[in-house]
Amino acid sequence: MSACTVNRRTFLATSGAAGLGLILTARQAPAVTRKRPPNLLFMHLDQWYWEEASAFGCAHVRTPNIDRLAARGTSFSLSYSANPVCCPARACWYTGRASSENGVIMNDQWPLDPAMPDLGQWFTARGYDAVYAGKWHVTGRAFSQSFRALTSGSGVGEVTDGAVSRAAEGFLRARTATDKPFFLNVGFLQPHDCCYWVFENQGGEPLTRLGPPPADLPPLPPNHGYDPNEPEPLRNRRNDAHPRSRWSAEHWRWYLWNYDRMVEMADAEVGRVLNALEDAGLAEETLVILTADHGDGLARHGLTSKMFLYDEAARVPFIAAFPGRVQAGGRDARHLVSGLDIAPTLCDYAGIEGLPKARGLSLRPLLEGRDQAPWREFLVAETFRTGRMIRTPEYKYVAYQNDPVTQLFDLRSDPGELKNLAPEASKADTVRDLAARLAAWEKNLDIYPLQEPAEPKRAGKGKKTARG
Amino acid sequence: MAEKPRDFRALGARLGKWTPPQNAFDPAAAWTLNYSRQALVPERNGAPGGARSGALTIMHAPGPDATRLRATESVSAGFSSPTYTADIDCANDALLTPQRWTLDIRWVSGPQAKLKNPGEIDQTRGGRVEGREIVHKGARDRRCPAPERWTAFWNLFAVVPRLPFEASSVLTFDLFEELDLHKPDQRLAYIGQRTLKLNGQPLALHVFEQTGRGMLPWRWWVDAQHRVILAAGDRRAYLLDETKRGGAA
Repeated sequence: MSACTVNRRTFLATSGAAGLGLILTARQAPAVTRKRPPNLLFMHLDQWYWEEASAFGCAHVRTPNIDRLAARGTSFSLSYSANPVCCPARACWYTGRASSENGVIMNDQWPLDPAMPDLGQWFTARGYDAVYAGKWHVTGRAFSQSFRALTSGSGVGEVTDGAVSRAAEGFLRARTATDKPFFLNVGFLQPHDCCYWVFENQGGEPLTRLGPPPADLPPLPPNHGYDPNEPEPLRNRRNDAHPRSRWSAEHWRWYLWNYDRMVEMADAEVGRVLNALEDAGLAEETLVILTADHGDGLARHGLTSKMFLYDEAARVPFIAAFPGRVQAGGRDARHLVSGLDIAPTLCDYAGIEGLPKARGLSLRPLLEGRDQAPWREFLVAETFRTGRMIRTPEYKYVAYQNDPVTQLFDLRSDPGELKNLAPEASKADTVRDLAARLAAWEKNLDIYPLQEPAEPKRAGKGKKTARG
Repeated sequence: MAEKPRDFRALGARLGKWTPPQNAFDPAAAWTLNYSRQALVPERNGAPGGARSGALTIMHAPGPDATRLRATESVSAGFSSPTYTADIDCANDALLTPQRWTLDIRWVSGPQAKLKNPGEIDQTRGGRVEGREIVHKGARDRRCPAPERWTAFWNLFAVVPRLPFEASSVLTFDLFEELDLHKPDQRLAYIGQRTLKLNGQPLALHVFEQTGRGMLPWRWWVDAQHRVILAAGDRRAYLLDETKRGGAA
C-alpha cells in the first residue's frame, strides 16, 4: 500500500495502536484531518543559552538559519529544561517523566529505569521510522536500543557535527513517497565545545593570541556579579580551585566571543538539515522542533556551564515550525514551557497516545493559536536530586534539600536574578505559597528507587535521598 | 624560542615522532599533500589530549585556464563514518574560487548503526556558479547569491601556500565549509614567523590567522617552502602526515 494513501485510521490499525485508543481531549484534537501522519524532526543543540540567536535579540551572533526557522514557526521565551544537565535533560525529553521518576538524576552514573519506554521505542512501535543522528547521552540506554541509528558523532562538536548533519541530510534526501513517516532526531554538540575552552584555560594564565583581538568582544553581562549568600551547591561551584576564579574580564569576554562563534557553527549545521528538508519537498509535512538540553552560565553570576537553576542554565530556546499548522513568526513570552512537554507534543501531532504517566503538556494548542486554553500556572525543574525550582510567570523559588538558604527572585523586576527576596518578611507569604506548591508537586512524583553509585561529581554534597 | 604553541601542544601524543618534511615543495606546481585529521581535546583528568579523527588528502592540479582540486576527507564519526570526495574546478584567482564541483559522500557503518541498506545515506551532490549565483544541485536546485569573494575550506590548503610572507598578505572572503556551510566575513592575515621546538629540534614556521563568522579562529602554519604543515582551529586540526609525505605529484 502506498503511504500516500494511508489515512490515520489504517495507519494506527496497522501499527497496533488502535486497540489502545486515543486519549485526546477536545483541546488536543487535531484541527485538520490528515491522510498521513506528519513527519517529525527533533533537533537539539547542547548547552545553548536561551537568548543566543539573532532572532531572539542577541546582537553578538548571526544565526540566519535558526532565524528562518523562528520566522516560520513559533518560539517560546519562557522555556525551561526539566533538569539542566545533559543526561537528565535528555532522559526527560525521551521519557516525558521527571528525573526523580526516570532515574537519570545526573550525568553518567544513574541509569534510566529499564522498564520505562522512550520516544524512539514508542514511535517505532506505532509505525514511525524512528531515526537518530548525533549526541544521545541518556545513561543506561544505548540509542541503538531505541532508534534506528545513523551515526553517533563524537564528543566534540567541531569534529563531528558536520558528519551528523550530513547523515541527517542523506536520510532526508533519500526519502521516497512510499516510506513510513519519520521521527528524525538530530543531536548537535555545539556550542558545548565551550566546555573545552574552560578546561584549556583553567590555569587562568593571561590569554595569548597570535593575531589582534577582534573588535567585537562582547561586554560582560549586567548580572556578572552574584549574591555571596547562595545555597551551598552554588557556593561550592565558586570555590577558589575552579579556573573561573582566576579569570580576568578579558578571559570572560573571550569566552563569550568563542561561545558566539560556536552557536554560529551550530546554526550552519541546522541550516544544512533545513535545506535538505525543503529540497526533498518534506517541509510542508514535517513538524520541526529545535531546542537545547540546557543553557550555559555565559558569565552570568560569574558562572559557566550548567547544573544549577539560574535562568542562564535552566532556560533554553524552543522553536517549533510546521507550515500551515503552527503560527509563523510568533514569539510567546507568556506561557511556561518545559522539556517535559516535548513528548506529549510529538505524540499529539503524530496522533498517537502519549507516553505512560507523561508529566508534560502538549504545546499544540499554543502553537496553533488556541492560546486562550487553560495552561499551567507554574513549572518545576530539578537539579541533581536535591535541588528544585518552581517558576511562575512572576517568580522563581529555589530550594535545595537540607539547605537553609532558599532563593526567591521577582523576575519581572529582577530578570538577572541578583536580589534574593526569600529572607524578606514582605515576601514570606509568597515563599510559603511557592514552597507549598513545590511540595504538592513533589508529593505527586512516582519516585524511582535509586541505587547509590560512586560519589557524584560536582553535585553538592550528594548521597542524599530523593525528595518526596 | 617558544617551546610549543597551543596548536601543537593540543595535538598531544600525536606529535611524538612527528618530523618536519624535507622534500621540495612548489605551491604553483601539481602536488598532493596528506594530512591526519585531529581532534584538539585538551588533556584532562590524566587523559592525553588529541586524537585522530580522520584524514584529508588534497590534490592540486593547476592548468592554464583553471585549477582542479580534489579533496578526500574521511571523518571518524562513531557508528557510521563518512568519506567526502570533492572534485572542484577553480578559477585561477587568489582564492581559487570554485566554479563547478561534485561532492561524493560515502558512509561506512559499524554494527551499532542500523541503516536500511549500506548506501542509505550516501549522496552525490554538485554545484556550479551561474552568473552571480551559486547553484547547489539536488532534487530541487538551491540558488543563493554568490559572495563577491568566496572559496571553500578545502581550497585554503592550496590558497594559503600562494600567499607571501608579509604583513600586507591579507585575504577577505566568505567561506563555504564542505562547499555548503556558509561562514561569512573571513579575514586571513599573515601574523609572522615563529620558531618552535619540536622533539628537541627547532622548527621555523610562518603563521597566518583566519577569523570570521561561524568558526573559531584558524591558524595556518606554513613551512619555508609555503607548504601547510598544520591547520588548527578550535577543536579540529590537520597535521601533515609524516607517513604519507607529499610534494610534487
